[in-house]
Amino acid sequence: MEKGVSARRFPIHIAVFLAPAVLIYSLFMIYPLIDTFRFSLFSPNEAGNLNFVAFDNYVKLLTDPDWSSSFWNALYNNFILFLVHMLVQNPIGLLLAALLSLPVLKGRQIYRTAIFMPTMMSVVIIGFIWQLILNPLWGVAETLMWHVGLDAFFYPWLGDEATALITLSLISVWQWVGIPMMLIYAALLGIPEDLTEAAEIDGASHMQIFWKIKLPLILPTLGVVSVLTFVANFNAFDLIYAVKGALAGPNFSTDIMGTLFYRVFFGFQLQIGDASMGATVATTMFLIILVGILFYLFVIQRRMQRYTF
Amino acid sequence: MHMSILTSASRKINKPLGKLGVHTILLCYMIIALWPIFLVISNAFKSRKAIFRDPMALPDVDSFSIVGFEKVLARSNFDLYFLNSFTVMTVSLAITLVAGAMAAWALSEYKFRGNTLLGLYLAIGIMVPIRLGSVSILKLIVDLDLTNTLTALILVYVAQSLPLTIFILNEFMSQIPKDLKEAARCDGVSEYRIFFQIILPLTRPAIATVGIFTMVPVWNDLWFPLILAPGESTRTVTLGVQQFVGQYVTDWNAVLASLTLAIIPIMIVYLIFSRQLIRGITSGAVK
Amino acid sequence: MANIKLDAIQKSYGTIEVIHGVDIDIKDGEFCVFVGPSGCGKSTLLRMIAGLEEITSGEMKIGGNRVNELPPADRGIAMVFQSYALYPHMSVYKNMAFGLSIKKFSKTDVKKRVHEAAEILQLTDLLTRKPAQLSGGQRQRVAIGRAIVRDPEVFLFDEPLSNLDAALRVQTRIEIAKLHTKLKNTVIYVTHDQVEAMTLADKIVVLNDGRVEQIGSPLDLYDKPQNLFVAGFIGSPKMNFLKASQTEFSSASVETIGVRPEHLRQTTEADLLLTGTADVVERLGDVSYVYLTTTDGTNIIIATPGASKVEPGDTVTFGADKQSLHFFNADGIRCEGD
Repeated sequence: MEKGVSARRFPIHIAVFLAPAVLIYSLFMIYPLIDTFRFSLFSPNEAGNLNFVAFDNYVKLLTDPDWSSSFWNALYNNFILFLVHMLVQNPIGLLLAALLSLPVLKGRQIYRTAIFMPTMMSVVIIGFIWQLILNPLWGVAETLMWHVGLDAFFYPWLGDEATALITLSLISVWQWVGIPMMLIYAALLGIPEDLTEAAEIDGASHMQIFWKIKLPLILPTLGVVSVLTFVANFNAFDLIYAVKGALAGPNFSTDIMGTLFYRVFFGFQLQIGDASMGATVATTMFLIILVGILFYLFVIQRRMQRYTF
Repeated sequence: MHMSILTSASRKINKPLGKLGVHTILLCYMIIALWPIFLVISNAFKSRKAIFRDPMALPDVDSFSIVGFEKVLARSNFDLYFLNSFTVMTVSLAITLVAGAMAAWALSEYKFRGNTLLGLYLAIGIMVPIRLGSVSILKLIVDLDLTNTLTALILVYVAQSLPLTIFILNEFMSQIPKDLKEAARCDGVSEYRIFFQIILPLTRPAIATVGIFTMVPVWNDLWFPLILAPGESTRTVTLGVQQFVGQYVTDWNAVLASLTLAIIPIMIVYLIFSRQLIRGITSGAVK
Repeated sequence: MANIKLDAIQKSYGTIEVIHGVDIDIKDGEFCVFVGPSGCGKSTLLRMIAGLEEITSGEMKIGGNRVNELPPADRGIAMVFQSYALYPHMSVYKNMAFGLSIKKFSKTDVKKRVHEAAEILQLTDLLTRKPAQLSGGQRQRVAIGRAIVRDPEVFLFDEPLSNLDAALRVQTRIEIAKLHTKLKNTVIYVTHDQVEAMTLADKIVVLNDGRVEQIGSPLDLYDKPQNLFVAGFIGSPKMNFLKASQTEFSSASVETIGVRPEHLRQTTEADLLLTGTADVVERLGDVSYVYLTTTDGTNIIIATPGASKVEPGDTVTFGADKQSLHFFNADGIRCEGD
């Protein structure tokens, strides 16, 4: 009844229902995002007043030797982080989900609950836990590897420029694998049993059923998982900050966009914080994430068909 | 009906891996997932010597010690951090739920110009991290004279949680039978009363889902406590642990105890709500 | 030869037994329908024949060979699911070709077979479409096509018409019958609809509660139902049941008398006479159903000619001859009247 009638005049009660959410959301989410962009177009002069400089800050970030090396380093590291998640986290998530969704599996509930547990914890806590485990002083990891005869390979991975980033990425994978696992698991459960039975009667083996029937049907979910991974990775900060601090050592080898943003914005050691450049880094991150999302929406999602069963 | 349920339960797993292989893989991964957490908790109850002598051993009569916990409680305001985290979480959740439900109701129930556009506008925040607006958020909080207050955190977290909440509740409300509201309208009940007395109570089942999806990130967040409310009196658990570990990094007892204190509550809450959480994910509430 | 033999087939889920030892013999080329109310175990039985469900005990033979341990693909069967179970991401062509390509048929063979099946089912123009772009009836035909291309010895149908509307259901039913006359494969067809069973079957197996109630040709079941369950299940409207003691056929061995609505006629001279008041008269044109309450309070349905003059409220007498009556003893088993 209400529909149609209310389309002509904007009834007051609709405004009342919408107001609280729209106000808080606009003020603390949308306005800051826009204002951050606006702010990135200004730069303080010697007197401390802000001057409009158009896109000079971006040019500076991308080309000025003082800035660009940190920026490209952070961006590169961020891609490594993303790559490790795509190559390790999501395949493991897929494998676990495939196993969990097997028709008769005793203890399914327990496995699910246990494997998802780290995902619920704070990144900070997880970071510290692994820092302790990998700490040569404590020697837990080394002892463990000794038990399987691999102690010769033990190495203080977190302390070495060459291995720190990969190690941190794997810690993050360990924590977040529950998300792709659950999303894929849910998608697999949504495939009607009739379909796999029909394939079984067609003579397909379980591997063939998985690769030729199930996997094509959950491709849209794998797309969603990928874009979620992308957004989460390019917004990451907590783990590196907790384990390595704002300097993302050793020698910036674990620096990603999130830690770069923090350092630029708040300053570190001798360099003082620079809000304009901080806003510039944040807006750049926004654009990177936006490109990722748009790529997903217009290139990946369009080619995939969602199936309703 | 009952036949088909029984049917799937009686099928055997004749996968290439075999039953044993499947369980081995899952069991191994389960140990990988739980062991680090377990290690930290078990060592938190041991003396310093025992922590280093045999990290893998469980605490026994000789090695048992709660000196770490004593140190943590003496040197920091862990109880206050908990209270802060708890306050921030519950107040944000309450505001998010009411404001989110109202908006979701307006969007799903009434047709007005710009409905779709407003829905899209509110959905931006599902994908775009609020953190990217931090420079301006900090300025805004300073201008409002809210630095080092829990209010600042609450406002930001409500803004952060609203998009997903509205999305989930919108789906949920579209499933409420039409007859219910139309019967009320025929009785001349006002739109406000329809919402607060009929719709809001009906959304109760969705509260758990919304609560878990929006509040876990809030509880675990380090960024906003760090930049908006780093003061001792407004510190949250996550920030408190981060600061404490940074400060007493060499005191293993204290570090392990503080981590354990942060882990346990989340673990308990998770174990209580895990069924609901998993149901929430698998029912496709969030895609 | 694809005769099928079920010997003391039994199925339990844990401690719950759902199929209680079933013996069925189906001859090569026979169209056999499993019919029964929902939950009677007919689908479970079909799935056991398909190999989708384990057999707890007993022996199943297809073409003389024991198949208990064989996977579905090696049993020489093809199945049409109630939901059709078409692969949503594959075209009609690929849906039909999938099983063949798994079996490593050559491309030309696959093409030939699919086109032949498509021809028979008038699917040729739809081969490139995805299932989502098809109507319910077209999907149904693709599901049958997917079964045909495999050239199976046995076709299994699991309530294949239940997702179609009434008109399409009749049409498809006739097509399935035609297809069977043409292909002459053995068919096992599960349905809860006794009209489908009567119209399609060479042989009907009536199942109830995990047991076989009766096996026979449609007319066997109609003319000589072996027990009260079959008597009540086959035929529409249902057979009327009367307490034998309240009729002139009262005897020690007969407990219940059954008489079909279409065998009662308005008369005062017959072996069995029923007098009562007409409560409702449903006029369908060719036939009018009279709902009668007899003097002793039993409710009876009578199928009278469409032109019948009976009006609600009338007191009327109907009768039937002895040869059209069915007699059942105290256990509900058919017996001969005195």
